[in-house]
This record gives sequence, structure tokens and C-alpha cells, in this order.
Amino acid sequence: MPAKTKTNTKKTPAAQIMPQEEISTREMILRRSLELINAKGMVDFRIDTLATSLGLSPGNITYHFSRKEDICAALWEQYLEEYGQVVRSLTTLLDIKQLYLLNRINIHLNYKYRGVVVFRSADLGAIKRDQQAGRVNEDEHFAMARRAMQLLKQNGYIDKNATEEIIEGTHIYHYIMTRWSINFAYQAYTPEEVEAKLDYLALMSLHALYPTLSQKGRDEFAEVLAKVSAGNLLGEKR
Amino acid sequence: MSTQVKTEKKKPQETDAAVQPKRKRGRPRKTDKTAGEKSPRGVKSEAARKTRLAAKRAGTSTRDLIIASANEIINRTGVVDFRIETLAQSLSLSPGNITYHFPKKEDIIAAIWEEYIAVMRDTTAEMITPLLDIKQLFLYFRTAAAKAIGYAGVTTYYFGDMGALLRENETFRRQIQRGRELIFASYDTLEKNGYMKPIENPEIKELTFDSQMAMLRWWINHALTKYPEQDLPMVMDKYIALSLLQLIPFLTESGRRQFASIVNLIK
Repeated sequence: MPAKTKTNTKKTPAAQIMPQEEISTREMILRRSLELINAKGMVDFRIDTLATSLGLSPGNITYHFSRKEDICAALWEQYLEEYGQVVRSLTTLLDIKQLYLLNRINIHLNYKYRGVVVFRSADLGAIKRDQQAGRVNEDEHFAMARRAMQLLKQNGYIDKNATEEIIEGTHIYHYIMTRWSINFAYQAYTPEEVEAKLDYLALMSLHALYPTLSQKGRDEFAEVLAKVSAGNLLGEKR
Repeated sequence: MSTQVKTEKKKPQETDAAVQPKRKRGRPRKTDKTAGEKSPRGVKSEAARKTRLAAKRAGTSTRDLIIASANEIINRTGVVDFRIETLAQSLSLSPGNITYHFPKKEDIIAAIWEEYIAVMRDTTAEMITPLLDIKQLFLYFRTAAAKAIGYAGVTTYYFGDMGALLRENETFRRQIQRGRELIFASYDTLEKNGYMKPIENPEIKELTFDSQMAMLRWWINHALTKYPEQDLPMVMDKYIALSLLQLIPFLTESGRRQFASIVNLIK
């Protein structure tokens, strides 16, 4: 194993085109962990099971990650890294349709990392340890939702009569929906249905803004709604 | 999890375990009704003895006592760090006495979950009446939220662990279906009572329900990323008012007045 790849903590495009043997042990651990956590959840996820399924010794894994929570934190970092792309596509051109597309990327990412994403801030002990370790939990998400709100306001998509308070409340609502609509999906639909519902979930996040939208905003929302509920977002007949 | 860093709380318990008398061999006595009356085994702390005496007077069984005390601990530590030994120590019971009632910690967690579901069901039945207005709807959501705070450790786990979500998927879908019927009926009543206009578009109606439901279920998770868990009751009202925000486009003038007065009272 080349020493370089071991210290390579972030997933880079280069890592993806590398042949299988070149993937660092750390990367291998993270990939398999995500599969296991997606299937069984964080609480039932065991380092022993992970080691067996990779044909490694548990010691080899604890060399990279001393506790399973560290694996969870590393996957969360990876998720945030990918999520950063969403944040960077927020521009002054933002309109309702663009925000829908950003929410859609976000929900697909949430789905990919579902085991980790649904669990963040689900265990009181883990939350406390995160806070003690000074790990910021969700700030990047939160900042994005707020910025989206400001840009929409600048561009005339927010109702002129909405008070600062209502706008702030709407922003929190939107954030909570982008963050937890995936959890909602696993309660409202069968696990098999969830993947087909991702477009709807992106709409649900967007809908959090509905009460505060201007007429122009509501018209665009109606357009998105019509396309999503026709199940024809990709322009192909299903 | 064996490699996990133990908190300092764990230490005294190890010495306790050494002092603890051996449990009698064979099947433990039936404890159902007489549970509180039998002489307690194990090391007795004065506080724990009092708790149990109070429970005995109130006619609470050991089982209920275990559930209540476990819930209290989980609300502080979360389910991952929750240990039967810690629980046994806090109740001055032997771990064997607890595993007689609940063989695994998962069984205790499941029992707390059952209790939470029952509590939520009762809340629902009492609060939605034909007199419904926006203030009452707020109070109903608020009561449900206040009760949910009492089970925060277990509910955040059930609402946030993929394993739990998948295992309980059927229960959740039933709950959400019940919730949908209830909320849609509430929209109708509010309309009849002149606080709401009908939501004509069925898709918007479904979206409105979905987002109200999601807010009422996951506000605790969001709040916990911002505030320590003992502050939950203080910040609750803000989130509950937010869940009503979704109704604003459909409120009549008197509905809006009630919403505004709720917002003013919270401030």
C-alpha cells in the first residue's frame, strides 16, 4: 500500500478511477462501513462484523478508527465534502427551480449516505461527545439554507409583507425539511419505495418555503409541482 | 463498542459489583404484584431505597420502575451508552433482577417505545374536538411535543437509526396514516369553524400535512444540535408555532389573528 493514499483522507476524483487494489485500507473501510450502516443502522453496526466482512483483523480497523463513531464522523465529513458542491452552486441567479434542483442533489446525497445522515443527531450521547469535541454538527447545511433564503428575497421570490421573524422561521423550516425528510421517508413509505420518492422529497423540502413565497414564487413552485407529480422530471415517458 | 471510553460514573459501580451478594440459583420468584414488597437485594443507597418505597406506595411494579428509571437515564445518555449495570446501580437492584424482567437492554428500549406510543395515542383522542380552533391545534401539538420530550432519548433513536427505522417501518407507516386522517379531519373542522379555507389542490394538501408531520417529529433533533437537552421545554413553543406556519396561506382573517396572537404570546 503506498503511503500517499493512506494519508489521503478525502475522496478525490482520482481515487475513483484508480484500480481496485490501489484503494487505501482507510477508503476500503469507509466504503464497506457505509454499506453496512445503510443496511443495518449505526447502533447495530459493529467493528467486528466490519472486520470479518473485509477479511481484516479488528485491530487493523481500530488502527485507522479507534471507535465506530469515528467511522461515522469520517463518513459525515465525506458527505459534507460532497455537499459543499451544492453550497458553491448558490449564486445570485437563484430562483425556485434552481433551489428545487439543489434540494434534489441534496436529497440524493442524503440517500446515498442515508445510514449516517439519518443517525446524525439521533443519539444524545453522540451529540454530547460531538459538542465536547468541538465538532460543528450541521452548520454548513444551516448556512446554506439561510443564504438561499436571502438570495430568493433579493430576487423577489419572497412575499414583501413577510416579517423578518417569518422569514427566519421559514428558513429554519426549510433547513429541517432538507435535513430530515429522508427520515420521514423511511417512516411514511416502505423501504423499497423510498428511492422512487426522492424527487417528491426534494419538493417537500422546497414546499417549506411555500407560505412565504411571493406570487411569482408560487407560480414557479406550481410549475415544479406539476412536473414532479407527473413523474416526468427527466422528460421521458415512464 | 467495547473500546469506548468509559465515563467516570462507571468506576464506583465496579466496586459495588464485588460487594453485591450472589443471586439465588434457579428461577427468580414471581414478582408481578408483590414486586415492591419483597426485601430488596443488593447494596442499598438511601435515595434508591426511597424511590422504591415511593413506588411501592404508589403500587408501581418493579417492571414499571425499571422502565421509568431507564427512560430517565436514556434521556441523558442516549441509547448507545445506556447499560443495564448503570441502571441496576441507580435502582440498587442486581443486574439479574433487571434481566429477569428484560433479558437485553434492547427489550427495555422497546418497552419505553411502547409506552411512548401509548401515551401519544391517548393524547390524540382527548384533544381534537369539534370546537377546534388554531389555538387549540397549537395546544394539541404542544402537548404532544411536551410528552415527546419526556422520551427524547428513545424517540431520537427510533426516528434516526436506520436499523430501527427499517424494523419499525410498518408501525411508523400506520402512525403516519393515522396522523394524516387526524390532520385532514382537523383541516375540515377548522374550515367549518371559519378559521381556514379549503386546500383545493390535493398535492399541496398532502405536502402541507407531510411538512407539518416532519416538523413535529424532528424538531427535537434540530433543537438538540442547537441547545442542551434540558432547554428543550423552553424552545419547544417556537418549533410548534413553526409547524403552524404551513397553514398561513390557507388561514382566514380570524385564523390569522389567532396565529398572530400565539406568536406574540411566545415572544
